Amino acid sequence: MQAQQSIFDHCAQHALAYTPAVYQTEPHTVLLEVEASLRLFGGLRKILYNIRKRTSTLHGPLSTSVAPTPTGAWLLTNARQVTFRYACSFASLKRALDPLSCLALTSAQEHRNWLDAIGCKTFRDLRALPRAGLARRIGPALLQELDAAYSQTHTSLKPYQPPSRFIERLDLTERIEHTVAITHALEHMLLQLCTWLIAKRSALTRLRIMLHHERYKDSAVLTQHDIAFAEPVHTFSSLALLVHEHLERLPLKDSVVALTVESLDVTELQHTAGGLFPETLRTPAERRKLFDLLTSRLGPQSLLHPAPVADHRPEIANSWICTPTNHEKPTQEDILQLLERPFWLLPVPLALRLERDRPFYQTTLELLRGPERLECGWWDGPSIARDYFEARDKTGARYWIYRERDTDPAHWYLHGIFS
Amino acid sequence: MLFSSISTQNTRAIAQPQHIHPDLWRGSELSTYARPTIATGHHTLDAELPGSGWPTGVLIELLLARAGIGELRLLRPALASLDPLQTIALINPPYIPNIVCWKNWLKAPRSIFYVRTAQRRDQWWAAEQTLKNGSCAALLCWTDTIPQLALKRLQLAAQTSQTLFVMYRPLAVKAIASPASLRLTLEPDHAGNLNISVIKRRGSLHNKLLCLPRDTHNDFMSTQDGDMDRPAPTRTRTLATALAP
Repeated sequence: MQAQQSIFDHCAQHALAYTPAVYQTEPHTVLLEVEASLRLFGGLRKILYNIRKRTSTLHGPLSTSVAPTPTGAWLLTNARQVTFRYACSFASLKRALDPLSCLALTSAQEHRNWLDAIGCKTFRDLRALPRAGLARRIGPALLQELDAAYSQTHTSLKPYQPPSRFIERLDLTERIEHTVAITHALEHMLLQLCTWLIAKRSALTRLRIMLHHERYKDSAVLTQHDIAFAEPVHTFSSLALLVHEHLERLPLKDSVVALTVESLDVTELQHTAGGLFPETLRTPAERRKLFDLLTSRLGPQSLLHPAPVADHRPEIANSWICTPTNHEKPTQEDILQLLERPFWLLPVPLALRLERDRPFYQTTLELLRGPERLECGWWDGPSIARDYFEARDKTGARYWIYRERDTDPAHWYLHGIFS
Repeated sequence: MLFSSISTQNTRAIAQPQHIHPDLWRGSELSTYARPTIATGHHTLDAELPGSGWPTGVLIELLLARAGIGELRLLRPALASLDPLQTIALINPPYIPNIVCWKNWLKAPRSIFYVRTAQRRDQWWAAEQTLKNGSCAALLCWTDTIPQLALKRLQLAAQTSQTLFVMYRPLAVKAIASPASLRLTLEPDHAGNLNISVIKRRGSLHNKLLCLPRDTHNDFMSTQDGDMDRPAPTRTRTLATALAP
């Protein structure tokens, strides 16, 4: 029963991608009002093809039908033997419904014996009966239902509401011991998740994937992996790529027997306005997607963004952090822009030895410019007192070197490389 | 009449083979790129490159013996002319990029980021993903060894993007074939100038050595070379030594 409800949910959510008017009727039938969407999605045939293709790959063949009235469409879908299920006009709907058994109507079930006794089997027979007499005998309910099937009357339908949270469990047919196989198994559920997201008009910001292991004496039964996205995702391709990169790094403790996918946080889907130059407009979002993707495989420590600090100490001024900042803090740009600084800085200054009283790095260094005296940081440490020089070696490469002022004899260090 | 018109059509096509297919060019001439190129800012270099600038959406290889010889100075005018809204990505730079210098160079505030990868495979992967993403205006990648297959993949990924994609490789791979569309070797001379030779381009062979002089306009703070070229003081002068008789 739960599985059936899940299939029904998925079909209804998928239908919501084509029209906002999706209704649910018993037993497990989804009704879509598609007339207003025909032009956008390229016609009825295309909509039907897309829905059938998507749902049949996930759940096997489902019965679909088309009719100008909701009750008519419902009858055609649930009928067992039917000549054709696609009726686009009232005339063809009449031709399709007439040979069907009239017991399909819910109010006809109560009068089943009476209808059998008078030889009324099909809709054609039922419509041939005089309306006034029929209403007097068995009440107006059956006639109303009959009218609703054949002609445009007001019918009250229950609109479909997608569940507020997505949680789906998949029991695997065999034990999985490789993350690659898990990614394949997950695809099905991620597809459902994306359908749910589209139906909710939302984008995912946090996702939880749980891997259920076989129960042993002492081993853990569950591996829980939460993934947070800097840029909300709602498309299958980007979600699958990110999940794949995350799972590749996940060590498998034990073989997996079942998977659960759960949506932790969602946000409203932001529709970006189209512009004359769409490339520049979508850049920030695309960039955040790239950051997500890179950190998911390489780890958060490997992606570094500039976070300049207003400080004269080069190693403190040039700080790089893992999380991007949107608004850079104001730095002493006016001062710093006057100074020429090397393009590269060494993570740790390299001590240079002296050869004939000159600093030596690969070859003897020749001082070009300087000294620029930096003495800073005695109040908050590390305190520095250095004279910086620009130096050139025999091959023409230029370096940024400094001499410690507080030491005797002087120590020379290589701190940067000009490009 | 009909025949004559066809024959003029043919000669035009042979004279300008790019009309037959954009990837065709005459061996004796420089080709052009279908994608926009970015002016290098150095006129002598512009004249030797197909399309008169750095091509976008292709793999450009710069071969150099070691970092710090002016390999970024070469790209500086091109990087400064890129759209300031877009990002510049660096993958596995040899040292830590200096934010102050970067800001001085490019004038406009723009976002840059750099990626450090522990494994060699990851750097190709990161480069490929950055190219496919397409939100970066320029991607500079440093690598020592890279298999041919990965290079080919990167060249194909570059073709799907508008990114200025430059890969810095060691000078030793000069003799090894590469799928890159443009290959230059960079060698410094003693005066700090940069000697450039084009070893692969779409067009005729290039034998000349281009010399890119070192920046002079930034040297306004430097003192006379003669003044500075003396042995460096090994002892710091303190008050005590200065006052000593």
